[in-house]
Amino acid sequence: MPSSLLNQSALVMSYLLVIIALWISATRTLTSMVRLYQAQALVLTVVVLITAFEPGRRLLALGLVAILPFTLAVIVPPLLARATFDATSSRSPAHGSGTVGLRGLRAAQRQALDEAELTWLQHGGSRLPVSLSTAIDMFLIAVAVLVAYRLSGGAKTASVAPSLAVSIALLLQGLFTMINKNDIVSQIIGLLVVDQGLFLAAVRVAPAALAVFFVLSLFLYVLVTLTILLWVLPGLHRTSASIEVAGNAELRG
Amino acid sequence: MHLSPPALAESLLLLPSAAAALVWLPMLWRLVRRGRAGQDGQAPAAMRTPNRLQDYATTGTSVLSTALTLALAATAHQPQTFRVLFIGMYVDSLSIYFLLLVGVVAMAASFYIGPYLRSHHAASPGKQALFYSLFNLFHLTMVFVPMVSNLVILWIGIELTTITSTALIVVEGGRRHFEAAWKYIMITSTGIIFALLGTLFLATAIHGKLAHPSMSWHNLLVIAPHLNPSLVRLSFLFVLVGYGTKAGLAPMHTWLPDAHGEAAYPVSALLSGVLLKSALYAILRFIIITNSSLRSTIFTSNVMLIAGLLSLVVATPLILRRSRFKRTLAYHSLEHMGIIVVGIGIGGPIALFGALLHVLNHGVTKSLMFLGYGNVQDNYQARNVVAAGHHEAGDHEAPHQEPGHQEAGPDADDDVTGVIRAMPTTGWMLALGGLALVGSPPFSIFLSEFIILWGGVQRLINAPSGWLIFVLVVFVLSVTLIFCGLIRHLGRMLLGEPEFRPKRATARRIVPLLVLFGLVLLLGVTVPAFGVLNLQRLLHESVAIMCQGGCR
Repeated sequence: MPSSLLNQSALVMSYLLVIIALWISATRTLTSMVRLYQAQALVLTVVVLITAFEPGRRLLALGLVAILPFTLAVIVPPLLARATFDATSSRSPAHGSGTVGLRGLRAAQRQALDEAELTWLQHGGSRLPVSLSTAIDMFLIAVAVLVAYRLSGGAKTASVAPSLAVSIALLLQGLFTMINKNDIVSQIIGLLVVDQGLFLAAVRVAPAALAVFFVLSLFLYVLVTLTILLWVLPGLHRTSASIEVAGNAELRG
Repeated sequence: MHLSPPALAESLLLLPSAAAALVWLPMLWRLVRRGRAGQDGQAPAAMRTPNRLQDYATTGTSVLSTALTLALAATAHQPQTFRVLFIGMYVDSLSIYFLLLVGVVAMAASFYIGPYLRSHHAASPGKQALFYSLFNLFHLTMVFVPMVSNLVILWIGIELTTITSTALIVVEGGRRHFEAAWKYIMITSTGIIFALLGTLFLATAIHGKLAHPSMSWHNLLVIAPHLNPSLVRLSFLFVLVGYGTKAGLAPMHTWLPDAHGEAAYPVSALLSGVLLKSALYAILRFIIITNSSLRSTIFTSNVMLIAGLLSLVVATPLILRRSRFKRTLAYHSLEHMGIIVVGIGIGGPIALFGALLHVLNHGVTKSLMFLGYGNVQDNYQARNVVAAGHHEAGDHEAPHQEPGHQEAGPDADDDVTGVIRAMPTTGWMLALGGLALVGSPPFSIFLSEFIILWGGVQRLINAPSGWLIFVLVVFVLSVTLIFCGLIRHLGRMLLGEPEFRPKRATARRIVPLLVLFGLVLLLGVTVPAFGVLNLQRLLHESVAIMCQGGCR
């Protein structure tokens, strides 16, 4: 496949990331947010894989990177469900299922997701009205495009401008989602959107020769995300029994 | 035995790694014994006694690390490059200076882990092992940061400090600890993404400039004049926001009072004394590259002055308002980071010397305050627990403190009064340390603040500027107002009659305070240049690295 076609396909797919982020910001339930996040992570996996086949790229390194967003797409929803379930119930979803082994684990995971969805359907609202949120998101995308194209005026860096714009847009959109939403699970999803921007920048903006270092940093960032999802978030929910930001504001910063 | 500087530096990494693993041995031994006891039908007797091996391994590591850092400072007269596994290391005077700070603060804090755990987790050997292990890992990550050469690996090092310190905060397991850890990791992890993007912009700027592109900072320095200036400027701004979040600069400081306030006091000492400076170290490396690239210090100088001034202005009302003492100390970190950043912004050899000296002075003084207040907290809380036990259970044994026992409101230390009468040595250390913290003579912080101010005046004489006059006026006003604020807090806590007679403080709780106070006093009188500790040389060389021949 010609390299320009690969490049164009990757670019079109990365624009899709921004559209999904816009959708995440506008949606009103956590259930939709989690599903949209999954879709976004899968699109990012495809973008990374396409980029890996572009000439001059390190196929093995980028192939490894593609595992990261895919893994997150698979593991984040059950982890969020577990944390949400901890917040609303003291018993574990696995209790009483009576089954053991892989099937039992899957059943418990399914049960946790089902029970969490009841909570997710009631949360995910924004502080601002949807129209205003969308307008702010559009403004942030415009800022990202302006900054990216202004920066990459030089001939050498001009080719990275669209990817840079998408990365900065995802960063700003994720941050806005974190600020605008009322609950902690949405804040995590905002952070994960920011994370996607970082992935994209490391894969498509960083010079190919230095990509390996940025790949390492991405692995570490996933470790941070897992620390939050596996330890801090369930602990916070367990001790406060609330997923609302207002319910976790005993300390005033 | 003679160790070369690279071997000394490698040992600095090896020691805490080994200690982090070693502290789990007693836990494993206990598990084995529990298994045997189960077979014999006997309960192990030593399950609840604090373990000496963990304690000796941790304090020994920190003492040895400080000694190795001093040896490194005495022997490494040239920058050292070496590899540990596949990671390139670069150790120069600036690195050694920050390593020295890590060593001193970690050493003082390590002596308090044992007493802290005895007061808080006597029944949980697992938590003890975890706490010791995490403390050593946190120490390791903070030693790693100033030594690493590659700027992306530097980012990884800073993120590792986030993971270990978050774990140290949540290991307590209370609601407020989780909330503090949540805010800390969310805010700093979001901020740090900006730092990585900033690093990435710098990587993009070197595209095509080198046959073998490298993110090693000394290689970047060589090609800095040929980099795209727009990308370098944006890179610096992103890096400042990113690492500035971790350094606790306003307006990204909101995690700071919560994390410092809820962490165990040896951890608070490390967070405030060293962690903030690790992020500052990263900013310093980027300043050097940015200045070399732009061939001028004006851009970074102005940005740093704005960031520092903002931190000072935000810190002032927060310190003046009434809140828990540990939170007030955290707001002081915001203030002092502001002062350091203003000093760096003023630039020139004098202000840079003052700013770097302030890094050490603040670290040492703040450790003294956090650890001293830890003594007070343990004694007064033990009093409260005993009182509650008597009240609710008659003469039964006082209830054990559960995790999250500090669940009182934000002004929970209102009942802490009469510390000087109740605990004279700790009380006086806190009083004098408090005076040092607000910049009174003859203590260390006064000296470094004075040098920064003098550097500002010198720059004004050389190049008069309304903007710099404004900065210096705000600087002096903030420092004066903050002086009054802490005196009020300390007066309430230290003076008056105590409501109870506390336990006599052990030497272990007092000697580190006296050593830290000795340093605060010494650094207030002179910048030492004797024996193995030639701090003057280290500081002059660090200033030279910062200036790269461009300071006037």
